[in-house]
Parts: sequence; C-alpha cells; structure tokens
Amino acid sequence: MSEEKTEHPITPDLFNHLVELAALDLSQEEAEYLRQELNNQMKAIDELEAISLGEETPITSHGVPYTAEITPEARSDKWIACPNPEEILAQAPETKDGYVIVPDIPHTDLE
Amino acid sequence: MELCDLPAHTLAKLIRSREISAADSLESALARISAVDGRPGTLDPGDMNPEDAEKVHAFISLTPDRARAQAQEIDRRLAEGEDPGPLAGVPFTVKDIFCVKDTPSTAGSRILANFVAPYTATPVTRLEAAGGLMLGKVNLDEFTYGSSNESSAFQPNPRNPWDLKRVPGGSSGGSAAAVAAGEGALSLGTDTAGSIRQPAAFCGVVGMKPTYGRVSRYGLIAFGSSLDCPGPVAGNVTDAALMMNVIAGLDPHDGTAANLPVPDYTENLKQSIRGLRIGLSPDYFRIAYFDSLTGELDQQPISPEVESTVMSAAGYLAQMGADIVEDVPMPHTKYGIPVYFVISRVEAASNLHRYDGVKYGYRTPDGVDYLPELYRKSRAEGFGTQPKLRILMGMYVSAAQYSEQYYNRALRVRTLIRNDFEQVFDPNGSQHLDALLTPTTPTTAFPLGDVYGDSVLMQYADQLTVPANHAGVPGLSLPAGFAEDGLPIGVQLLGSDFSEARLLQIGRAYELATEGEEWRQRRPAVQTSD
Repeated sequence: MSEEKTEHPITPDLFNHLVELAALDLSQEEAEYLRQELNNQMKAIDELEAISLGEETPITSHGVPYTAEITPEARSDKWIACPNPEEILAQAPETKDGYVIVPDIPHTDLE
Repeated sequence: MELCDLPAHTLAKLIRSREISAADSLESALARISAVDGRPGTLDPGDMNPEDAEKVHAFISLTPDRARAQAQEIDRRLAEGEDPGPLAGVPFTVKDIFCVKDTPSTAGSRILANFVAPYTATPVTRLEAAGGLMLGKVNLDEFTYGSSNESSAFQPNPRNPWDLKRVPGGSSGGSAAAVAAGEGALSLGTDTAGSIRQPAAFCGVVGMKPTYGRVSRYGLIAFGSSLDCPGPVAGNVTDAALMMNVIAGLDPHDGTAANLPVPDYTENLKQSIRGLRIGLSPDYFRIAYFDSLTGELDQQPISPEVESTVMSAAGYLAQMGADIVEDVPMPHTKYGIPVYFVISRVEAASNLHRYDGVKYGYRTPDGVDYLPELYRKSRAEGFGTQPKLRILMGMYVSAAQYSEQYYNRALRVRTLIRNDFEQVFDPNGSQHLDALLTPTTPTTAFPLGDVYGDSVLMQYADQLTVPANHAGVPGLSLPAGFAEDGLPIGVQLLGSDFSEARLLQIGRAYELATEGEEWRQRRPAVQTSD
C-alpha cells in the first residue's frame, strides 16, 4: 500500500463508487468536503489496526449477552391485518387505487 | 418558584392529593415555554433575529391541545376518586426521534419533515398511561448524529439554558435544555454514544442510559440498532427513577426488550451506600485525542476542573460510606470512538436505506422518470451532511473487501471493551466493583459553532460515554457543580448489566451529600429572568 493510499484511502474513484452504492447525488463541493471528512475519520479508524487481537477474540454484535433467561419469547408467526392501511398509504408521496406510484423501473438483467 | 420548577415526583404528589390540578401544572409549563423557548425549529427559518439569540429553542413541535386533553382527563379521574398513575399531571417532552401517533415525527431531518407517525413508541405510550402530559417534540441532531444539536435541519437549534451562546450537547440536546429551563419536568431521550448523558452533563440535569434492552425501542427511529437506548432526562435522581419505573420492561413489539422483571427503582433510593465499592479509573481521566494534522493519537488529560469535580464527588461518596477503589484498569476505553466510527456507521447506513422518496417522507419535487434517479435525488435533497457521511462510511467499512479489516475487527475490539467492564464488575474478580465513577464529558459545553463541521473532533465529545454503549451497560450522569465559566459539570456512574437501581441509589446518596452546597441552589439565567 502506498503512502498516499494510506493517508487518503478513499480516492475520488472509490468515493464515487460509494456515492453510487449509497444512492446519493452530490454537488462537487459537498463531495469534496465529505471525502475529506471520511479520510479524516479513516485515520481514527486505523488506530484499530494497532490492537493485538488473538485469533480467539470473538465478535460482540451487541453488548449485553442475551441468555435464555432474559430473551423474550418469540411471538407466534401469525398474520394480523394492519388496522389502518389507508393511514399508512396516506404517507406515500403518490398513490393510486391503493398502490404506491413510482417512476419507471428500468429493466436489468441479473448477472 | 413556579410549578414548572418543581420536581416531577413533587408535582405528581401534589396532583394526586388534589392540592393542585393537572391543568395548573400544564399551564405553568406552557407559560415557561412561551417565556423562554422562542420560535420552534423549522426547515426554513430565514435570517436569525436578535431575539433568537435570547431563547432556548428546545422544541420542534408543541402539542398543547393534546396535553390539555390529557390534563383534563387526569383531573376528571382524580375527581372521581381514581388514581391516574405515578406521573399524574407531570408535563414531559419527547425527543423527536420517537414516533407519536398523529404528530410530526421528523428525526430533525428534512427527509422526514412531513412524516406524521401512524403509531406511538412504547416508552411514550407508557408515559402517557402513567398520567404524564406530552407537551411536544424536542429538537436533536439530525437522526441523532451529533453532540451539539447544530446538525438539526430544524433551526434555530437548541441553546444551553446556562449560557445561550453554548451548545446544549447532543443528540438529546432539546431534551436536556427543556428540562434545565423548566419547560417540562421530564424528557424521553435516546443514547447511542452518550446522547442522553453528554447533554445532561452540559445542561446540569440528570440523564440515564439504561442497559441495552431494558427499555423498548419500538417506535424509535433507528440509528445504531445494537447501541440505541431510550432513557430518561430529568431534574434529579428520584425523577429519573420514577420515569424508569414507567418506561422499562418487556414489550411484545420489541424482540430485544429483555425479559426481566422491572424493580421499583425508587425503593432503593434511601438505602445507605455503606460498603459499596466505587472505582476510579485513570483511563477515564485522559482523552485519546486524534490529531487530524499529524495523524497521531495523542493522550491528553481532561479539563482539571472536570477532574477535580469527579475527585470531589468520590470524596462525598466516601463520606457516605462507600469504599473508593483507585487505579482501576479500563485499558480499551480509548478505542471506543474508533470502534464507534465503524459499527455505528454500518448500522446507520443499513437503517437509512429505507428512506427512498417512495413510501413516506420527502420526495424530490423535480419530475424524474427513472426510479434510481428518484432515490438519488430524494436522498440527496432530504438528508443533511451528517446522515450522508454516515451512510458513505457505513458502505465503505462493510464492503465485502474491507469488512474483515474494519467491521469485523471493530466488533472484536468491542469484545475487549465489554471485557473491561465484565472484569471490574465480576463479583468474584479482584476489583468486584459496584460502580465506576468517571467524568461524563472531558470539558464543559462548547460555544456554538466551535466544533461543528469537524466530524472527528465532534465525535470525540462522546469518548467517555461511548464505551458503555458498546458494552451495553447502564450509565447515569449527575450534575456535580460548575466550572469557573459558570457552566455545569457532570459526573458519570457506570454499572454492570441491569444495575440501574444501584446506580440511582448511589446518585441519590450523592445528591443528599451535596444538598447543602451553594451550587445546588443555582438556576439557569433563562429560568430566573422570566
């Protein structure tokens, strides 16, 4: 890894790829500010590299262990009608006959 | 002193014994809001005027009609000999990250500005069922992403009632400012990295981050789903305990709400803390500050005034009979922020993908004839800078080719942070602590505009609070005096899983030990000038 890449791992090309994945559309000025902030944050994140982690160190996906005693019983998998579908649909920017309206969805071939 | 300056537990007692009415309590709070709050935050505030600089601006939306109907109902039930509940007639506010049916529930973001919630978050339902009066929704950092409230899309953003040129902290800044200014005795906040405790410390009020899973997240607009904890912001420990009694517990709507009985958190408050072991860790008296110019992680001591306040608090607790244990090692504290930069971003990016301009919320007004374009434009126009930053970072560190290096590594370092707490709280361990006593924040409230824009520096404001979120353990911030500049200083108690009752007991002992202190009599300038 080059020195330049370590200092600024998020290059303009990589940044543009992230913007595409994030479904955003940024002005040039906003993009430059955000890329710089991301690279600053990456310097802090890189501190994690210095920590010696034994192979046996497990991941923690949330702090409190959910033991059998405190784990709530799963609800039964039962279909319950939404009591207010009109209210839910009323939140959508555009609807017609109970359907949400969106612009054209492009045809894409699955890879 | 007005009714709105009374503690919640005193108000509820007076109302339940019918010495005052719920309507009196409500009108007092509304009068205070009218006197000190100024205009609520809006999307298009125009120019700031001189009056804006003199006001608190805690609110985004006020719901006086709803509160009046609730107060009327409380008074009616009391007249008929019923008990409306432990919070009868107590006005409270809700951070605008919770859904409350038929109210705008904005998350402080343009993308949800027009969203009217079709259901109510469980903790809010419980507060209302206990007799509380919901005054409205208070401001926050956009989607809770910040430590100052300056990132809210709804401006003017809240100010610190002790010094209106300073930030109230964040992200529950509107909550802490409202309680400090007497605009509602209680507020429901959330804490993902310190978002209840840090503003509570900055505004001189009590804030509790409960154990993860202790309070239901149903109806909370999600940020970091493994970190988010709803909890109380209150004027004193007893009020926080009373609020915990109401909001904690199992919820069929949240599969992560722990199946554990809720104790009466007010019961232990009078018990002696004699013999309890309270630790002080040198790892909480320095901050690992990342220098963006040199790329180095520097260690710096925290503010001497904050340090001496914590030491003084330890002295008071010792006088009350606690054993103070020094030099407790918490060696992974300094990794809390780098780990948070990874985990919270991945969770945020995942949670924010639901906002697409299709089902609810903001849709670009530009006519677009292609769905991906609708997504991009709606999200670009609807999200502010902070959500965009978090989404982009989350995409990067969780990408297939980087996730081992960043995301999985962060989750493993999180284990080390958790281990620090497990070791010191282990009843059979060498420390066997009942609690750790630490500063809540490295400094007092910073001036508006001083830190905003530097996303790294802003994040480091949470350095002493975020480890508890990674570990899931509870934390309580208590007001503990004032710095030379007149700003409040907070101290923090951290405990083992589900030890909220113990933390509140220690907090109450500290209140009793310091009740004769001059600083306990101080009130924010906005509260005394109306």
